[in-house]
Amino acid sequence: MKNLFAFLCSFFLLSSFLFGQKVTISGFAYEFGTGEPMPFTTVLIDSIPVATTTQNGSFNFQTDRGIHTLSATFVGYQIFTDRYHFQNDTSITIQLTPSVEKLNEFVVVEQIDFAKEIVQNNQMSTISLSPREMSMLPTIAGETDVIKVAQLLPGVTKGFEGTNDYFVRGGDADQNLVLLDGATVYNTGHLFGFLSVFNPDILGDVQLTSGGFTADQGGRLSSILDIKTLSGQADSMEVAGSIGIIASRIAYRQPIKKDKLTISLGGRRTYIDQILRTINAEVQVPYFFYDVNGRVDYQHNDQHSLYFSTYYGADVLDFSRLDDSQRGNSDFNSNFDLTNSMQTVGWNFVPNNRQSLTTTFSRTQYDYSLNSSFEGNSIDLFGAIEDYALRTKWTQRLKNNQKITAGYDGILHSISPSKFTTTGTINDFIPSSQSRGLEAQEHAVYVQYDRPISSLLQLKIGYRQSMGIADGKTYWNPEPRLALRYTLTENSSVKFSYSRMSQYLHRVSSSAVSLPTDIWYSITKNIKPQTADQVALGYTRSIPTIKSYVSFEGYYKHMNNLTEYQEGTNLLLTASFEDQLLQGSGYSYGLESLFRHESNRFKGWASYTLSWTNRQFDQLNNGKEFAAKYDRRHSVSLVGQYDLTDRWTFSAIWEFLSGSRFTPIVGNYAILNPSGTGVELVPIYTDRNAVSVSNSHRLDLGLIFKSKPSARFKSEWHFSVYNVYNRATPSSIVVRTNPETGNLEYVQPALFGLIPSVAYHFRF
Amino acid sequence: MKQVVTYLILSLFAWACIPEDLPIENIPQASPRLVVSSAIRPEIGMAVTVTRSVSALDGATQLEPEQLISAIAVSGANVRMVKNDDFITFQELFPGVYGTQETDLENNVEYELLVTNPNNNVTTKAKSTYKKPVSLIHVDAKAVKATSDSLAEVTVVFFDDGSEKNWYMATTQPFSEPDDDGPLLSDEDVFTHIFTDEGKNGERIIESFIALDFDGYEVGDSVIVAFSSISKDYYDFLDARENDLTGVEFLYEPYNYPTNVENGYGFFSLHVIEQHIIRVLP
Repeated sequence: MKNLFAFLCSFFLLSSFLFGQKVTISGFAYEFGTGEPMPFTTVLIDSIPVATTTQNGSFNFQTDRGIHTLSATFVGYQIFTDRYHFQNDTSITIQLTPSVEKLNEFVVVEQIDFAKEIVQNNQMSTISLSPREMSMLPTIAGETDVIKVAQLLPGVTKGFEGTNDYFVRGGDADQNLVLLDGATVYNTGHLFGFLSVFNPDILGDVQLTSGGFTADQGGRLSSILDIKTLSGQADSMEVAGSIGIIASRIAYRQPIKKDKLTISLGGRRTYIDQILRTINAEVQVPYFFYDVNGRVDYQHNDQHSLYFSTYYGADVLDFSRLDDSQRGNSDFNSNFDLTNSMQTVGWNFVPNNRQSLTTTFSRTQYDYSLNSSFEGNSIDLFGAIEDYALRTKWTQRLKNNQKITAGYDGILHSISPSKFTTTGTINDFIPSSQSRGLEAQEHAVYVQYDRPISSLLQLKIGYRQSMGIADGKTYWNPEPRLALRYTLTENSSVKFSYSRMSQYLHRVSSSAVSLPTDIWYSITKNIKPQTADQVALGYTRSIPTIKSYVSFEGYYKHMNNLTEYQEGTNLLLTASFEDQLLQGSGYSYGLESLFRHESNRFKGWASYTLSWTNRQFDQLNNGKEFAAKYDRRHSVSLVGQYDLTDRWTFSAIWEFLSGSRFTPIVGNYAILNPSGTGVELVPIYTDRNAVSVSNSHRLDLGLIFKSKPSARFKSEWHFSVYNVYNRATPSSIVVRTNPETGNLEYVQPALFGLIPSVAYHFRF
Repeated sequence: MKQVVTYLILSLFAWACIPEDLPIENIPQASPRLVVSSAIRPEIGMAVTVTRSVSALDGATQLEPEQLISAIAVSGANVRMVKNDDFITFQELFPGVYGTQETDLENNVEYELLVTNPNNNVTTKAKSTYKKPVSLIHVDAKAVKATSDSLAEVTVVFFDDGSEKNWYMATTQPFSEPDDDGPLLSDEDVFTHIFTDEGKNGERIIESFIALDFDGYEVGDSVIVAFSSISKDYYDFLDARENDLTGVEFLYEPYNYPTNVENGYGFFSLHVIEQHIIRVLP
């Protein structure tokens, strides 16, 4: 302990010698509407060029702290310009809008703020989140969580508290594609969904698209959460990290050869198990998680760049780590492992400022295993999915702000849905079983054409032809895409989009609860791909005087070939999943509203979603239509952060969610048992998902104390209080006896109450 | 120092108080319906239970079998069984339990059960086809020693009726002396094994299965082994019932079990249960 104290003292003393007057500004430049990186964009500070973006649109430079005007220019695009008060290292996202004027006419427009850019953006149903903004929000146990923040966006709702599942515009959880540097992430949660698998210190840019999909986007019906790690060339060594209550993390970037080669490493681990064991050997937690990220960026020349990105993470629950005294029955042992592994190799080729080619090859693997043994018996459960994916996209910019994008996506899936093995006497009751392994392929070619029809009307039209192959059967799905934006006034526009999406993978969950062991199941000769048609109509208005915008979007989505288990399926004893799966349809509609404000001191948003979502399966609920489990009628989020002073920032999140739905037992009846010697009770259920549980709402507060702006060693203390007024955040549904009346009642126990936390973040 | 840090951490976690559960107040109440079930014991007679369904939040579900039956029993019902114009009338033996000694039924003939509820005079109907009994020619139970439990391997031997596809049921439960004052209901859990004559049509069938009991079986224990040839409908009902016997709700999908009782619940089945009380052998 003394050593640790001495180390910390040395650490802070050392930092006091590292003060300086410079701040590092980094970020990305994207094209509005497509989200594509903008290479060779010139970045200026107070009209002086300071950096040029790389092939993937990133930039990085140092400047004096204080108030500056940052601009970015690229031929054919409106100039981006805004004023910033740089006090600390800052990450900035620059979004450049194609100029409606002729390409060769270089027109300096007035200052464009982020709200006006949203209005002029052709892309709808898309929201970007900056890692910096997310890190300033209150957290649970000090861990910034990109999924938890995404759950606060309009149109997005969540499952039970503590899970990382999210549901977009009435879709199911498996309809959300989560990409990390282009590789699919099948399990987004550590700690059984309590935290996301993404180390916040390595995140570069996060973008969620829930509608108006472009032709290059595919593979899932409801949303694409595109997460990119920090990329590009670092000017100097950068270290960032955090020490929290349950976990610590660190990220490190180092230029190996200036402007040529940069490596990035990141790692995170829980240590509550180690701390408790060190402090008191009798307090043992047999669980830990860890993850590591690595990335290498190589800039060959102005035209070619390569990168390699990798992630490996695991959750380990291992009772053999406990001492015998803690385990009680020493003959019992159990361990449960979840592992995620992803690797991506990317090549960017930019022959000139009109053309670009991006190609990625990625591998992802997710598997789980549960092994329990007791007194000569054992139960082993194993499931896995592995993908190899190739994606390539060619972009050609034409005259008059026209653009053509074309490409190919191909994925090979290998799935072992479930292998259940028992040995010993238990094998007589629960025999071993193994579902058949699945091999499936997805291929898609696409082309997209963007052009202004007039000075007021912008058009995006695309076509994606996808196909899935499994069991010798081929499914073809045409996927047309259309997006229109009509400018009403300088500050307002109307947007419309239509997209058809196809999905060749299903994740099948129990109707009661989603688990990490839920099976992924590909298409087969009997299981058809899911499809969805979605239309959305939106109105966006910027309010420049207060640096804000409001948007309203209405949507309707119809989904086919959704998958559920048959009624009465025993999820433990089932190996022949295909016999138990049913396919049906669903639809959802709703209205989303968003007010977003971003000024020097205050950033935040307020969102409200009103929605309905229903399902219809011929063999469920007697064929009658029923509400989806997460048919939450109202969803409200208020999110804000306010700089009280240069060194103190206050943040708050308040959310309200209508209750989700479930199928309760509402009655019982007694019948003679099969031997006629007694009676047994049989449950009576309501119609499927007929009952809404209680509404939930929660307030989280955060306070951040930052080191002096001039400090080279930047540090921040993050104090958070989760669930300030200690209202239950439902995690399950149980029947209990009311201690006062003695009657039985359904209740929702809380997963968490009020949780204070503190975390120390640093960066140098 | 070590203690201080321990207390600090424990205090921090203690501060994370757990809030009160949220009530779910809009749970609908299941309207009570008539529930029918039946069993035939050779040389004793046929019993039909007539009860009412109860709300899931009714404490009745936590009662012992006799208390439960008396709480939900429907007394004074008019219970009869019809084939063409022939009526068999049942007498009320205990509250909610009706019986008749007339079990001379015709094989593969459909009978209709009529139960008139005395509270509203509404008659509930159910139909079932009588399956003639198949007798065991041998039954035994042997103790099987597991590391922690002692189980019973039960074997039943009989000749299959080769005329058609047949469905069978064998059950095992510990034997306990019945209470003379009650309706002879046991509160022991019944282990049910169902099987068919597939691949053995018309042959001598030897069927063995491991029977599980919470308290285990030891050599010398008395067990009740019941055996019956059952209809396909009842076989499917028992097959569906096996799924929720894990007792863990989220491990199986919600399912309203099939019933052949019009406007009611339960299952009317005309199968004859052959019962043996035997000792567990080493």
